[in-house]
Amino acid sequence: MKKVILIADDSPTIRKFVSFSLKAQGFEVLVACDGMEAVELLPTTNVDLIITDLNMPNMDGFELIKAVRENDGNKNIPIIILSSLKGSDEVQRGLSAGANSYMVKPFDPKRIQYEVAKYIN
Amino acid sequence: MSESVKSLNDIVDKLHEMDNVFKFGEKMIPVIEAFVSFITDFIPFIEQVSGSIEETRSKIPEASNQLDKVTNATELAMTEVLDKIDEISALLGELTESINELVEHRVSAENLVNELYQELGENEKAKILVRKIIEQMDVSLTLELMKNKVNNIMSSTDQITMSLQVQDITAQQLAAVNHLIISVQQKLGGLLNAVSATGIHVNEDLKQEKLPNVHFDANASYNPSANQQVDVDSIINNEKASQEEIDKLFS
Repeated sequence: MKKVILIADDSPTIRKFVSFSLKAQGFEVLVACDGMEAVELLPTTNVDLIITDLNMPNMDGFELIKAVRENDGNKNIPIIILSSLKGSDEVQRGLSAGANSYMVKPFDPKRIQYEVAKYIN
Repeated sequence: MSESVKSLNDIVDKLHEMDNVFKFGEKMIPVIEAFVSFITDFIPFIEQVSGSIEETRSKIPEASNQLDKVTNATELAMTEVLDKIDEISALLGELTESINELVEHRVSAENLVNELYQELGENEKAKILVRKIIEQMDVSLTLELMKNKVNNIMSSTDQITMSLQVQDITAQQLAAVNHLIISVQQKLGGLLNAVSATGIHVNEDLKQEKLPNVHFDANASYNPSANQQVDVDSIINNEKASQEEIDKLFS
């Protein structure tokens, strides 16, 4: 059974780039265009890992991470932040919110595959 | 008696004050006239300026739409390019599988020919021919080269994928510019409202354009070097190290 990865990003091209990199590795990919849509998708399927942007309308990445960590059913899902924000404040805030990894855009497809492999066997 | 004198003195003082006021008024009249004349001359100028602001303001939504169109067009083009890269990657994957099958077939054929060689016994002429066949069949080096070339192409598609992410960065920069010009339009609208409140005629419908519900990093920059990720990794490592130190303190 394929492992499911949920990508939350308001940029259609980034959703496509990440999906492209992960589908090649045999993962099933779900996409959401903001945190709100990601939260709505979570109860409908078993998600094995979340990759999220930080700057998103309606619900940003920090709020999404908080929502996931506060829900008993989802709190152990590994979360990777993928953002163009690269300041130490954002990185520390992301990790404090409960993210497991932090990647900056533009990303190397091999690096994202490596990060995902760290949490999904 | 003294009270009457005091009252008279008061009246005289008041008359002096009034006299001073009239004298001051006489001096001020030319100034007030000049001021009124200035304002009268200035109103057409304000009207002219407000007209210019109206014109500038009316063009802003168009500029904003143009920026949105640029973002949408590059997004569409990028999606098409990615779809093509996806197809190329799938074909390269199939090519790699075919090369691997060829390698397996070649090994099986070589084993069969070796068996045949053993069966030939003393027939030296046939053995020479079989050796030549084995030499001709040895395409392992070529297949290895082909696999390397396919891997190089796959690696290039990864690099293209990374470079194409410039679209996301430019989209964020354009969103920041769009946000800025709509904010300028709102400020100009506020200014025109203030002018309109003074009674000066403003032609434009002062409807305020709403800021788009788009989130962006105004400082997003395209830098495909690995250094950015290295910097973030070092922040993460420092963060983890400090957390471990805290955990040790409390253990």
